[in-house]
Amino acid sequence: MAFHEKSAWWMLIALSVLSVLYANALFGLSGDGQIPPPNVPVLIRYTVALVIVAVIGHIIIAATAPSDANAEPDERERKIFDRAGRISGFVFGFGVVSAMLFYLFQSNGDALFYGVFACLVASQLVEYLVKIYLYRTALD
Amino acid sequence: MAKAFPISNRVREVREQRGDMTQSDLGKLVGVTRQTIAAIEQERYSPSLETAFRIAREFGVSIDSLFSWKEDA
Repeated sequence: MAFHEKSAWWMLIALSVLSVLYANALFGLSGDGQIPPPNVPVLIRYTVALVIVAVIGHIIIAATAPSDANAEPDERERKIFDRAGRISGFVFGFGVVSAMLFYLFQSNGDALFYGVFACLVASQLVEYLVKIYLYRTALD
Repeated sequence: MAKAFPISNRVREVREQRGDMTQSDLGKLVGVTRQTIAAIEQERYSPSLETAFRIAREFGVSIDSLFSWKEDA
């Protein structure tokens, strides 16, 4: 398995698990079933945990194949990254526009924040998934 | 369903005739990863013209003896 594919697998799992934990933490703050306002300490903990997990994971992956880790992406990998980035961008753009439209009608700033944040996470997850798919299938 | 590529190749066949040349060796010689050489050999990826020329040059053969267009594609 290529270094960048391992990286995509690692980040897909890490981001999924930590995002579920983050959502659980938010629901824990919500006593009455309402969306709680954005909580900076929880967000910072989530971000720091994600960075630490990402760094540790990449150190482990790189240690298993140092030459692969130092290599630049080749022509096929660049094509995979471009396609994954484009699809991820569509997801993010569509989500942000949807969140803005929701805000226009509901005027709920908290929902806007969470909507955009969820789109950011979803677009990253889509990017990792598309990369993994393209690594394993035919690429024209 | 796997996508049918219009270009077939003899990269695996010619590489195996070289005996001890691995996909990784060929990848290093032409500047792509082992996984990309595997994808080319399995016809899951058509290389750029530059990479196709590099592979042909490493084998010392012409590009049209290595890559061919499938007429039924």
